[in-house]
Formats: sequence, C-alpha cells, structure tokens
Amino acid sequence: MATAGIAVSARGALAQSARLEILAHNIANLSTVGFRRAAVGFRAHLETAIALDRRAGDLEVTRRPLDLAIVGPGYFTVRDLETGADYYTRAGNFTMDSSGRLVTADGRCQVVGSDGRGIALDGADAGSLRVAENGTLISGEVEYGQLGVVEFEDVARLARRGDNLIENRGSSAIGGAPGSRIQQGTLERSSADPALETAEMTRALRALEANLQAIRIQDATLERTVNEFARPAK
Amino acid sequence: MSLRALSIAAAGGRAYLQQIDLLSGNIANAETVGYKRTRAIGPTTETLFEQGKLRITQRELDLAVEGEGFLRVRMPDQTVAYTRAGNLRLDNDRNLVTADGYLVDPPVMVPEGFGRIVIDPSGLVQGFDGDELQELGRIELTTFANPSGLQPAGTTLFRETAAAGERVDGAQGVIRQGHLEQSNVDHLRELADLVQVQRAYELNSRMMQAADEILQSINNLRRKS
Repeated sequence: MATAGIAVSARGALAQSARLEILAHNIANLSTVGFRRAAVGFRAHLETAIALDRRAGDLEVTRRPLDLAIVGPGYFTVRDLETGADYYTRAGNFTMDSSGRLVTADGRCQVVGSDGRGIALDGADAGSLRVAENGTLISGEVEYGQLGVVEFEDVARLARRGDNLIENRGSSAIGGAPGSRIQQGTLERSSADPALETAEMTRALRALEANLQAIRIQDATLERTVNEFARPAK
Repeated sequence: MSLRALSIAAAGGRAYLQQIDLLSGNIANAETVGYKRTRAIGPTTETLFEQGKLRITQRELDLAVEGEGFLRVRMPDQTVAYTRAGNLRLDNDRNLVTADGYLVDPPVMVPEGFGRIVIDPSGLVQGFDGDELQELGRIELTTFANPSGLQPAGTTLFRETAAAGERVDGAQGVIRQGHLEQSNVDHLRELADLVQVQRAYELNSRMMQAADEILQSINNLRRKS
C-alpha cells in the first residue's frame, strides 16, 4: 500500500540526515588536534552504523615538550577529573595545571599512567621534560611515570564522547600497546579530510533529496487515488 | 532531523572564527618585539614561548634574552608582570622603563651626566661617569616551571598564575645588550594555517546552508501547489 512506501522513504530520509550529522561533525573538526573522523555505513534496515576511521591524521612537528603524538593505533588514557571515568584520546596537546597534573588541553581530564594512576609533574620543569618512545616521562634525573597507552582489539566498540574523547564500550585492550610509540614535540592533526567530507556531504544531500522527492510523488499519487478514483458516483 | 547538523555546524563555525582571530593576531604582531605566538587548544588559547630570533640593533638600551627567562616590570598598581620585550628607554626621571613606560623591577636609575651604559650578560648595569665605570643596578630574569600557564596581559606582558608553577628569580637566560628578540611568528606558517582554516570555515558554512535547504524542503513537502 502506498502509505507504507511513504514510511520507507521517510526512514531513508532520516538515515541520510543522521549521516549528514556525522559529516557536519567531521567538518566542524577539520582543525581539531587528534580528531578521528567518523565514517558512516548502513546496517540492515537502514540502521546507521558509526565507525571511527582507522586512518591517523598527519603529524605536525611543534617542538613543544608537552605535545605528544602516538605513532600506531594506540590511545592515551585520560580520566575525567569530575566523574573519575576513564576515556581515551589521540589529542596529545597536554598541559600542566595549577596542581602540577598533566591534563588534556581543556583541563578537564588528567592523563593516566600505565600503573592506572593520574600523572603528576610536581616540581618538574615542563621545558626540560623528555618523553621516551615507550611513554616514560623524565625530567632531569627524576621519572614521572609512564603514559598509559592502550590499543583496542575491536575498534567498532569504541564510541565518541564529545569532540575528542573516546569511550570504550566493551572492547578488550591489548596490554602494553606493542604497535604504538610516542613521538614528543609532535601533534596529530585531524583526520577529517575536506575533499572527502565534501564528496560525502554531496552524496548524502542528494540521497536525502531523492527520498523527499519520493515522498512528494507518493503523496501526489495517493491524493489522486483518494480524490479522483475513489470519488463516489453521483 | 537535520537540525542537529545545523547546530553542529554553528558550533564549528564559532570555533573556526576564533582560530581565524588568533592567526590574524599572530600575523599582525609578527614584527612586534618580544611577541610570542598563540594557538588554540580546545576552547582556550595557549602562548608558545619558543625563542625568537635575535636582531642586532646596537642601541644601548635594547636588550634581548637568550634562553629562558623574563624581564620583570612593575605595573602602575605596583604588581609585577613579565615580558620578553627588551626595547627599554629612560623615562623623565631617568629610570629604565619598557617601551610602554613600565618600570623595570627592581628599578634602575641612570643619574644625569652618565655617558655610555654597559649591560653585561648577567644583567649587571654599569654606566660611565666620565672615565669611571660605576654600578647602577641589576636586571634580573625570572623563570617559571610552566610558562604556558602564564596569563597574557596585553601583547607582550604576562602575569603570574598558579598554573605557571614555581617562580625562580635571577637565573637561566643570558642578556644581550644591543639586540632585540623578534617575535617567534613564522609568517608563512601562520598564513598557510589561516588559508586552511578559512577553507574549513567555508566548507562548514556550506554544511549550514545545506542543512537549511533540507529544512526548507521538508517544510515544503505538504505545500499545496
């Protein structure tokens, strides 16, 4: 029946709209450090599936000691200072807060060490801090712990939280992050790509328009059916 | 429905505009003595204290700090601020002041009649009284554990904060008389970034436009012809 067709087209339009939302998010973060673009796929019945793109962004050398990039698939572990929940991020533009803690750029999360405790740089001179490839933090003769870098078995189980944090929804972590090393004085740029996002945006828009057009046509057909063919004979 | 795309794009647009402001500020101050470039990190900005190149001026009251450390200046309200801009001069009372007229802290006075002034790498200020070299004062440098935590107060002045960590007076850098530290802005790099951010802003605006058109389309679905 024609009304079912309208519902199908409406679902199609909604799915394309969800896709557009994800692309809007990518486009809004073209210059966000460590941002991972999301790709959109469709599962059965047009259910949208959001997956973080596996490709890393380009590396940019900044020479700032607290700018850290991960070469490889790992993520930094960070802890929300308010809720105590652990998240993961590729954005290594860390700073030191007034309590000497190593925190994310927005100051909301503390970087967590491989021992599961938050990293504090009490008394360390940020300018002379050295970070080894395995994430060990050294200033002068003193060690300030090792960054808790984590790799995940199942990337599809990671979900985005805000622009730059990743939440683990049930993937197991690979201990020791064997495929990742830290590069100091470097930042990972956003992996969102203007050309790719534009192409995807155009495609989503056209598909959405097509669905809306289909609704329009079915509506017109239905109207004729009801108002002309089904008119009671006089 | 596509309203979410619209609000996401709006937030993105704001962030891009902020970045354009920031990069423009860096470019505008590329020729400002002692200026330190800033960058956006999330919703806030951060000052990057990399060393700027030293330029020889041969002016005796031009000082550049090579290495770590800030010159201390005394603000009109008697609080202390920090700067890397060493283009000093003498005020009407013959005190050493910054280009903006703030006293060097601790103050150094050059009495009337003194000829050439000599400032050595450790900051010792001496002046020739006739043929005799006399000590006039000392310019002291201050370092911080985490200079990124300093709070900007004007283009080249900074204020102490808790985030800047421990303050250490009288240390580290070397003072070069007759030199100035140029800004650490790399013109080309900032321009390249500016172009990129502008393109991103444009793309973001296209997304807003698209979301708007879709809403319009949806509104027109049941418009009678």
